[in-house]
Amino acid sequence: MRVLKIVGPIAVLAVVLHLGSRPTGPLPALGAFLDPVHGIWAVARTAELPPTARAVIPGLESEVEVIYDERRVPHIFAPTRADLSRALGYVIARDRLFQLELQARATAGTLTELVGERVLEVDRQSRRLGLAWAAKRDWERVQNDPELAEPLIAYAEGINAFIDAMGPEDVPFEFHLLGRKPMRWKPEHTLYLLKRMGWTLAYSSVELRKAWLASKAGRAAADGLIPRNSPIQEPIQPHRGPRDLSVTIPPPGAPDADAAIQMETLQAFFGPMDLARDGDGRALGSNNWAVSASRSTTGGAILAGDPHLSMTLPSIWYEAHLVVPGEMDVYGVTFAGTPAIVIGFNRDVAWTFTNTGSDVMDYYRERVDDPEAPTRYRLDGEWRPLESRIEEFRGPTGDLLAVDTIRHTHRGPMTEVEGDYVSLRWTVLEDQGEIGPLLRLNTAGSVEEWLDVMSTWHAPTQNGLVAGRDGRIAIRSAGRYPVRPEQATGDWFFDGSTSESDWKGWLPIDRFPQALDPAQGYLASANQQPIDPDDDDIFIGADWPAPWRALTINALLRAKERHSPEDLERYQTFPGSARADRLVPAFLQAVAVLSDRGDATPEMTAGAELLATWDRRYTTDNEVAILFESAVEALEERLWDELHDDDDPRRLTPGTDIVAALIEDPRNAWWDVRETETVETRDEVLAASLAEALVRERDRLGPEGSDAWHWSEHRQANILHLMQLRSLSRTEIPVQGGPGLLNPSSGDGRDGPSWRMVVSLGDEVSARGTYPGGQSGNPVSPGYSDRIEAWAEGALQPLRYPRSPEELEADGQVRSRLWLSAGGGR
Amino acid sequence: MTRVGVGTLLVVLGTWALGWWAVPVVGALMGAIWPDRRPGIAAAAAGMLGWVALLVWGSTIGPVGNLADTVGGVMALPGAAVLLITLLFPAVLAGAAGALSAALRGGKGA
Repeated sequence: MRVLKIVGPIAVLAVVLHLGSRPTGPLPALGAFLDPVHGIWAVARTAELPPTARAVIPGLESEVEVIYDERRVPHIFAPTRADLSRALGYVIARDRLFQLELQARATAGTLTELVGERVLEVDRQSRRLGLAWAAKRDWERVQNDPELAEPLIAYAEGINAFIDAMGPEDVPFEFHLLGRKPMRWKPEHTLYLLKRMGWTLAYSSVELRKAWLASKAGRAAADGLIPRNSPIQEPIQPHRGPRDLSVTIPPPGAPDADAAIQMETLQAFFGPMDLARDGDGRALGSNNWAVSASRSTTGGAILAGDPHLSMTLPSIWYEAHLVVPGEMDVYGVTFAGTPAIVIGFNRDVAWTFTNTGSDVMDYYRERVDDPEAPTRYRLDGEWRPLESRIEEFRGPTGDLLAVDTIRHTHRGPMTEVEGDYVSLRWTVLEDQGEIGPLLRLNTAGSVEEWLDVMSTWHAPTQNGLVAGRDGRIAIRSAGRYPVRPEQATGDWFFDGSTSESDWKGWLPIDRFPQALDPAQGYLASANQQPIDPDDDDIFIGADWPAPWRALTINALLRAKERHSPEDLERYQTFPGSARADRLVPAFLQAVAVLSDRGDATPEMTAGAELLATWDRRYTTDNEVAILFESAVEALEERLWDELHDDDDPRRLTPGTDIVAALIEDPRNAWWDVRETETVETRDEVLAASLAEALVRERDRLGPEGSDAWHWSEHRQANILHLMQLRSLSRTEIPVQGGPGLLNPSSGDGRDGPSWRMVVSLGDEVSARGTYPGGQSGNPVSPGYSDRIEAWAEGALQPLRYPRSPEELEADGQVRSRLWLSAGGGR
Repeated sequence: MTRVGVGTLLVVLGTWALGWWAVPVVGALMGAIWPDRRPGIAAAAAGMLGWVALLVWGSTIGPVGNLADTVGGVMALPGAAVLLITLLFPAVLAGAAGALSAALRGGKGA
């Protein structure tokens, strides 16, 4: 009996101690996790900012005061730039520590060390591309330039001061969940982050998309479907208003076998093709526009910007106001991990970016000495040594998961597919030119100075828009544009065996798409082709997004002589669609033609009657937008049937600007539907697509006019947590947005306007803004997602821009204060 | 009652100072000191009440209920279940430790 009394508790104790001290399956070790003082429950204690707090950052030269306003935005008043960077590092760690680490690890390819083997392939891709390898190389150079290195070092000191003094309540939720401790931040991690932005914004392979199309319909067709010049032109550098180019899309041809091989090789770099964000569903773009003093109601310039990126919780952006009296007074959004404001304003200028999307990566077929274990590659008739790096992948406990050998030619990393070797040259992997401009932009005193600073920007190429206190505006598509060998366009593989294939240099700044003080009094960019081929025909890219957003904003800006800040704010969620304006008449005309011939079915007529009632607005309660989108989808299925195989679920859909070009060419062979014996005409295909859409939507949603037809039921924003944990995400948020709209919304709702800002310049700066998320990374903080509601409604919030702490206090806007010093109690 | 009260206080202080490992230690201590009257149950009650007290203290500072729901969402459990697991864990831990130490001492209630 006594034995049982001993053995029973021992068994229970052993089991509970095991569960308490060791992770079991997906569960963390329960003891440390459930501990009410040190475990996950501690997170509740930092949900709100305390009214006052003190903290220590070793090395701080003087005391720094940080005042959080009611929107939880830190206003940092520091005596020196170095102290400012330390304080910014500290406050960003306080709010976004997990995000900092996750982003750095994603670039470094060390996510396996945090979450285990399931992300090994993601890490392998990062290392294969060499983002961290390039960032480390950059850091070796940056270290020798105190102007660049000091802010990065100081910023790291601030982050690490927070980590070193962290109590259990400061450890982010996700670290508790993973049972891990935060790593220390290194100055070069900031450079990792900038490489990561390059990956997000300049990692677009025209070659891959073209190869896919050519493998289905031949090279000529691929060149027509991803044209070098958009068939509809409304460029960033003002031209003469919108115009259609005279283009003929080549008919579908025989599949190109070589292109199929090229595609497989490229997927070795890119991973499996992700075409979910294709066609008009691509919402990773951005808008910006500005009006000069001559076109504004305020008498000063007004600037609006909304970069469209993946929307996550916490957001990619963090809002801050950075002040060094007499030196810097800048407000805006920064990336967690960057000691500078990336998009924002100071007392003299406001600026924002859209992605240029130029082609800055090329591929070279290489010949190697030994396909099994190459050590040399052939160039200009000689063997050259390959550079190698060994990449080890480790799990959370330090166990070795895999080892890869990555080889480099003088162009960049090389990959192999079935004995074929291809190397990559990509501006993002070359010497950095981003941190310097980012730091200097913050103190630009004029439009010219801002443009000068951006002249040293390298990658990713960005359409930088700037407005000045003096009422002037300018735009420049800045960055490094490779100059390729004569006649080469950079959208097919190059022969790597000759240096003749190499880039010849960089496009000079005077040939960048740009404008300063245009006569029209406004400027706008929305990722469209930046310069009309009539103005400069040099190849800087292809595969430009359909210019519907550019057409819409330019039309809005042309429509009124003077615009107010409220106008610009309203335009950011304007529900009108240049795409619908272009395509709806084509559907209606097609049904009319068939009706005249007596060939229209009742469904075609009913579809046309319903579509004709549409105001072409994507408001949340609109009941016809869904019919139009369904009709476009049905049209694309018919039109691009030559590109799709029943046994391959992958889809690549050319943009609707190509559809618009085909509508002008009714006899083009693309209109024929392959699987039917008859040869269809344009009007038959358009009318049949509309009829199919009506039938499909009636079957799916019931009779038209019911709530199920409301646009808000079909297009919603989904803002996922960084680890895609559903309970930490905010999903199914109705938005007034859609394909090709100024407020775009992609199919899965995960991309969109990640920050919206309108700045009115003059003697006093007035600004409004918001982003879909909140300042805090703590999921139980009210500040985690408190901005989403206003963002979804398209409402911006006033941005407090005080000249001193006292001014903010006088406005009654202080939520919390933090004093940072070099020593003393915490 | 006194021993449960003392045990609860020790669990609170021990968890505060040393973390969750204090729970079985306190449980074992209780079983060793008071081995004769249901030492396992008394230790379990102290373990649970100690963590209840700490959670109540936490809830005066931040949204513990909201956090329970959030953690539950991650683990596909209701928030109440997360709270329940949090309280059962120290109860079982302290109870087993208490029962074991009492049995080793040869207590009548063990």
